[in-house]
Amino acid sequence: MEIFTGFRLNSMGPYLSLLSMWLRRNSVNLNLLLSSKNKAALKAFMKVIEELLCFIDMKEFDEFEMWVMKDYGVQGSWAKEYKFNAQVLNCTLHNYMCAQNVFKLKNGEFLVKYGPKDFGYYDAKQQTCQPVLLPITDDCKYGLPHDDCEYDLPHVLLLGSLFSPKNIGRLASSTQTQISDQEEEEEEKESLKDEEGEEIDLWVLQEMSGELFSKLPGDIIVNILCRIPVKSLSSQCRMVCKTWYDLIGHPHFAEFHYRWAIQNCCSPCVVLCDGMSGFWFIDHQVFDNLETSAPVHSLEFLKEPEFEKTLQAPRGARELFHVEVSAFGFDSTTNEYKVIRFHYDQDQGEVYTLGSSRWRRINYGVPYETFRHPFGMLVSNHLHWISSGDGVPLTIVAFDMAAEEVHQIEPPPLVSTDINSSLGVIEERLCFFRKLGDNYFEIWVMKDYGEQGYWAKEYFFDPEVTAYLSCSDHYTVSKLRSGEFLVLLGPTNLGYYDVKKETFMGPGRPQRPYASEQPQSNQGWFLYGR
Amino acid sequence: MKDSFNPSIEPPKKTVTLVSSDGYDFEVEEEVALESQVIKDGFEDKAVDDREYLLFNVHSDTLELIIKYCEKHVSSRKSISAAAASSSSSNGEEALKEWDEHFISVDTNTLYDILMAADYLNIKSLLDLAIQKVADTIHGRSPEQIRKKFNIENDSIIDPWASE
Repeated sequence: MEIFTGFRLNSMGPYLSLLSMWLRRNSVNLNLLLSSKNKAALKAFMKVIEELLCFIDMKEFDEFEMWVMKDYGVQGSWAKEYKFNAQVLNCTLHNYMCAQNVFKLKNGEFLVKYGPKDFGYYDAKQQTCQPVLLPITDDCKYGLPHDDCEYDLPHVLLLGSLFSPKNIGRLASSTQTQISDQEEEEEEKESLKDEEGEEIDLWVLQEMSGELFSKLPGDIIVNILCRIPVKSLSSQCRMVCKTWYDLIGHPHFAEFHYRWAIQNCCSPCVVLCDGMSGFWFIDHQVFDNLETSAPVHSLEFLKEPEFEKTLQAPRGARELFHVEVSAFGFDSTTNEYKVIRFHYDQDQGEVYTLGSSRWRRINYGVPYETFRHPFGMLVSNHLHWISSGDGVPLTIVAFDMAAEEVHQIEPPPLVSTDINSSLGVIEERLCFFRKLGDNYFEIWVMKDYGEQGYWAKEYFFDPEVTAYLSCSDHYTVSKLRSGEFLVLLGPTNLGYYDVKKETFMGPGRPQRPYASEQPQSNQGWFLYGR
Repeated sequence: MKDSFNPSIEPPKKTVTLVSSDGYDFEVEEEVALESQVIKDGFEDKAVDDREYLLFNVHSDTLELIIKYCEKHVSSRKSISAAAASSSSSNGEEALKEWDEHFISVDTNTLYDILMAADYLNIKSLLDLAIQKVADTIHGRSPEQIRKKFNIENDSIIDPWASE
């Protein structure tokens, strides 16, 4: 067993033999691993991708693999699906965290971390990466720590549509120059295709098809348009005809577009947050149309110029790091996206509606205590945070996205030692995770959200199972479609748990493809609306 | 195929007769016809011996394509689950995806017919496939190209945003 000196062995005890078996089976060069300066070379992470359990394994230094459990719960249904080349990802030994931050997009590409500071779109088949260089010039300005950049860089905050009637014009105007170039290109492509005979001549078609497509039922047209990225919608589809123009401009359409994007996990837009107060907007489809080496300035519009300006110089000459709570959400009553932020020491906050030109002040403040979840949980058109501090009873703070008011929600019956609690969203209901000590974990669910709302204890994790999980302030619990939970608890453990069967697939169980142990960072992906 | 499938031999499985708008009979296996939610719903309501469905909105050319699609999906579902049961590796799903892609690569007119028929018969996967095809065609095209492609009349919109 001495060969393992150098790995992080905490809580590995019973699994050491399995790990050694795995290492032998996979003929990993132990000498190479051990000679490295990096003591925690062997990493693995778990993720839920397309509602399937995935296991990301950093097997070698220059590549990592993603395994997918095809048939949930069935032994041996793990399949090695994707391979990531760490060099292509500009990943070094010291920012191995890139292996954890992968998210699959609908077109089959992955949104990954590129190098220590940026993001990229990765094509697993071609093993190519198209980097998205974030325009971070002065880290401090955005509240990013200097040293541990790879740990604290923007998390993906929302994957969904950023479409709203108000920002449609802005998007269109900012992409206009680009479109004109594109049209020319496409015109050329079109004619080429015709020559090759791959596509039937458009003119012939026109004569043949009559006005068929104008006669499609409304719901089908909406369904079609929902699948089109924001940029195409705002600059092109809208201009096709009056019906489409009215349809796309209708507030309800934004809701359809948002729902579709969330439900299908496709991501025309990605919002990144650095955990403090900076937000970046990335339109996946826009990047599709840019050169790989697009200079940062050509991506400026993605950041919503006005928005950026206000972020840098908010009214009242406040420095950004004075913003203690910020969140981003979709207001489903007006179908608009809003950014909310608060300062502890003031009885007021600010709201920015995407597409408008400035922040609006609201006369509500939030209690001066720690907010455990930095981004807020969006449920029933309210954003939620936990507020608790020394000598102050724990409360849940809710922000009404529509009325732009702050109020408080009664938490579940409190226990005096309720300090390790957090909020979550499971099946679109607000959840309260309570962890007491080392071996008590339960989930309360808010039923009938609103005035009639009440808390019910829905899930209780077996104490024996909970003992597996390390004590930590930060944990994430997400529910799989199968009814099991993917639990990311604390920095050293992970596993998945079936509440009904009371079984826990902890680290190193033979059902897993590998028996490797891994430090699991508490910084994962936060998905809204899931 | 415009005539019935197997007029002389007794079919091995239960069949259903689908009648197209232009009066052609199509005899298909029951499970193939049940791919359509509409037929499935009707099936549960109807008396057992009544196995003929008049599809007033579907032309025989389109119906032929639809049946081809349903048959393919029923058969590949079987082979995929069989492969899964014997735990042998199969790329059945991928092959089906490719087949789908090939299937839906048709001219705009046919695409429209398939779309309407899939909507009428409520075949979710096919409707999804057709809608995605249309969306893919639209994406990245200029308004003029979209109008041309789908023959939509240009009723000259003045964009209020453009003037800003």
